[in-house]
Amino acid sequence: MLLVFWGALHATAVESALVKAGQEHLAESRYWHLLLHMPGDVSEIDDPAFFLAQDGRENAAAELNATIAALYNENRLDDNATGCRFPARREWLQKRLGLEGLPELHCEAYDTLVRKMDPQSVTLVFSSAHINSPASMFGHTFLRIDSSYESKMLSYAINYAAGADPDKENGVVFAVKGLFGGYPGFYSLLPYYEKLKEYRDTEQRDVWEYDLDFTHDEVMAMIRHIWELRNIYNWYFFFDENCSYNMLWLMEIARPDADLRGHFIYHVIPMETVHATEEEHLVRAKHYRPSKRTVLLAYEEALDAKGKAEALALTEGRLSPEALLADETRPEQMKRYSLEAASELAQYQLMKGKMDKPTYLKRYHAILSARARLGQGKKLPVAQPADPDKGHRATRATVGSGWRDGVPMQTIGIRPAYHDIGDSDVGFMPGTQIEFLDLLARYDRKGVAVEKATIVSIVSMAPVTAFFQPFSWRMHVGWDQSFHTRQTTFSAAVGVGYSFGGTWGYGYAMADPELYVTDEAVGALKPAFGGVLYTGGGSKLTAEGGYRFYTDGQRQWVGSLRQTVRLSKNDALKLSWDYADKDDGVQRTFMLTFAHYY
Amino acid sequence: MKRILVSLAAVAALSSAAFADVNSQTGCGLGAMIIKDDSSAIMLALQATTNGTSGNQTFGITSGTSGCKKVKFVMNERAAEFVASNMDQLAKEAAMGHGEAVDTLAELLEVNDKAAFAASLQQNYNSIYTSSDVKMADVLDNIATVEG
Repeated sequence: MLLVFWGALHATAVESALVKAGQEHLAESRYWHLLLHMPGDVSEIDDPAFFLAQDGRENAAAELNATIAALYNENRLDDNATGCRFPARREWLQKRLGLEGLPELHCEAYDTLVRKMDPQSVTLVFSSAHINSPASMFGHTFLRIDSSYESKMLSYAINYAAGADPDKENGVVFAVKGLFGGYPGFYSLLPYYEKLKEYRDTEQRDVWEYDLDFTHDEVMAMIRHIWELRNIYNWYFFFDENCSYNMLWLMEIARPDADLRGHFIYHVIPMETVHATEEEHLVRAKHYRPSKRTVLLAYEEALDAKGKAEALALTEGRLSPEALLADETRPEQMKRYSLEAASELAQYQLMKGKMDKPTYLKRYHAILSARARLGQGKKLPVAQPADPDKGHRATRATVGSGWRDGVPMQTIGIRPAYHDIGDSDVGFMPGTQIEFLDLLARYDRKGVAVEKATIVSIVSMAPVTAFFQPFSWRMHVGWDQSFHTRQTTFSAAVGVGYSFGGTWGYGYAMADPELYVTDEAVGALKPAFGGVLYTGGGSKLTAEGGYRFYTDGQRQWVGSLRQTVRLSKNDALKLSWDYADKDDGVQRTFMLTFAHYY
Repeated sequence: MKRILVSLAAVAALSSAAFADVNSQTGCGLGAMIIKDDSSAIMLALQATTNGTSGNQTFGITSGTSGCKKVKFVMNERAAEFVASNMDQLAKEAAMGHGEAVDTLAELLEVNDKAAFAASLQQNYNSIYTSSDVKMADVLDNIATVEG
C-alpha cells in the first residue's frame, strides 16, 4: 500500500518535472545542447554510453526526458547511479526544475576525484612548436585545473587525444586515420607535472599558460561535466574535432555566455583557441615556461667558450666533476653553470637515446653532487620570447602591385594557414614555416593567371649551436614560377642542409632535389645559400640565391631579396625582388605587397 | 577543407617512417622519465600532423607509487607520489638550492620556510641522494632525517 503510494507520488514528481521542462523549453536551451555537445540537432559525441535515450544523440528532448526519468528512477545509489555518472546534468536540472525528492546518492568515485583535485581555477595551456617539426607550430592546447596549492605542478591537466597505439600501427596509416577520424578520442586527466615532462622536457616545447577568469562555481560546472566524459569516446579529427576544439566545449560549459566555438568555421588551430579566449576576455594572467632546449640555449648564452666546452666534456665523461671543482682558474659561477648545463645535457641525451641509463645515472649523480657543493649562486636568466598570442593570425590575404620585366603586374592572394619564413617571427619559432593552400593570382596585360598555388610547404631552419647539431630541411609541393620556362609549373622538392644563427638572424646552406612535372617529368638539384636578418620591430630581410641543375641539361640562376615590414600584429608590408633565368632570358619581378592576417 | 586534408595526407605519405614511440618509463628512482625515440629524421612532418594524438593516457588519478618501497616516516601519499614522479628534476633543484619542484615538495611537507628548506637540501645533498640508484622512499626518509 505504502509502496504504491510512494510510487504514485514519485510518478507525479517525474510527471510535473517533465511538464515544467516542456513549458520552459529546456530541451532547446543552449546549456542543454552544451551538455550534449550538440552544435545543431546531432551530438558530436559518438559513444552510445553517453546517451540515456535510444535516439538521444539526435533528439535533445528525448534525452532530456530520459535523463529526468532516470534521475528519479535510480536502481542503485552508488557510483553507477545516473546522477553519479552525470553530475552536471543532475545539477543543472535540479537548479532549473527544482526536482524535489530526488534520491540521495553516494558518488564515492566522483567525490574522491574532487577531493584530490580540489578544483579552484582553470588555466588554458598552450605548448608551442618543437624544433625541427614546423608542423607542430599548430601547437597543442589543454586545460589545467588548479587547486588550493600554491604550486602549479600539483594541478591536473585535462587533455583530449586520440586513443591510438602507435606501436601497433604503420606510421602512414596512423597519420591518415588521425586525419579522417579513424581513432576514438578520449579525455584524460593527468598530474600537470606529467604533461610538463611530456611537452616541456621530452618534446622541448615552450609552454605558455593563460589563467582563465572563471569563478569557483564555473570551475565546478566544468569538473562535473568532465566527469560525464570519462571513458566516453568521440571520433578524433585532426582538423576540426581535435584537441583544441574539444577544450572549447568545456570552457563554454563553465561560462555559457562565451561563444568560443563561434570563432571557428571549419578548422581549429590550437593557437587560435587562445586568440578566441582572449577575445572573449577570459584571460586573467599569462605565464611562460621555457622548454629544456630553451634553458640549454640560455646556458650557452651565460657560459663563456671554455664553460661550454666543459659542460660538454662533463656530459661525455671526458672531464670529472671533481677536476672542475679543483680548477682554481675558473670562476665559481662558471663552474655552477657548467655543471647545471651538463646535467641538463645528460638528461637530453638520455631522452634522445644517445646515452644509456646506467651511464646517465652515474654522470647525473656525480655532476649534481659536485654542483651541490657550490652554494646557490646566480639563477640562470632566461630571455622570454614574444607570447604566441602576439603573433599574427592564421589566415593571410594579400594584394600586391609591381612590375615583371618592366611590365606592370598586380597580384591578389589568400593563404588559409599558417606562417612562412617571410612573415614576422613575433610569437613564432624563428626559422619555421608551414603553409597550406597558398594561392596567388596575377593580373597583367595578358590577363589573369595563376602565379603560385602551394599545396603544402614546410621549412625548418634549426640552427647548429654548441649543444645542438640538428640538420635543417624543407619541402614544397605545388605550382610556382621557379621552372626554366615562364609557365607556372608543378614541382615537388625536399631539401636538407645546415643553418647557423644568433640574435641577428640566421643563415643556411641547402641542397634541394626537385621534380618538375610539365609534359614530362624533369629532375633538378639546387644548391642554395640564404639568410634572414632581423631588422627590428618584428621586421626582417630575407635573401636566397641558388643555381639549379636540371636533368634535361638546363642550368638556371635563381635568387630573391625580400623586406618584410611589420606594421602591426596583423598587418605587414612586403617589398620583394625575384630573379630567375628563363629559356628566353632573365625574369625580374619587383613587387610591393600588403598582407593582412585574420 | 577536403583539399587541406588531402594535402596533409600527402605529407604523411611522403614520410613513411613510423610514428614516435612514446615509452613511459615509470619507476621509483632516477632516470624514470618519458622517453621518446624520434631518431628517424623524416618522421618529423608526420609527427606534427599527429600532434595531440599520443595514446596510452588514462582518466584515472591513481597513485603513482604502487610497486615502490614504502616510506618509513609518516608522510602524505601526495608527497611520495610527487617525489617518485619527479626524481630527476628534484635532484637537480636540490643540488642547485632552488626550484619549483623543491618548493612544491616543501608545500606538500608543510614546510613554511621554503628558502631554508631548499638550502638545507643543497647542504645535505649527499646524505639525501646517497647513490645513483637511490629510490623515492630513501629520498623522503633521508629528507625526514636531515630536516629532523
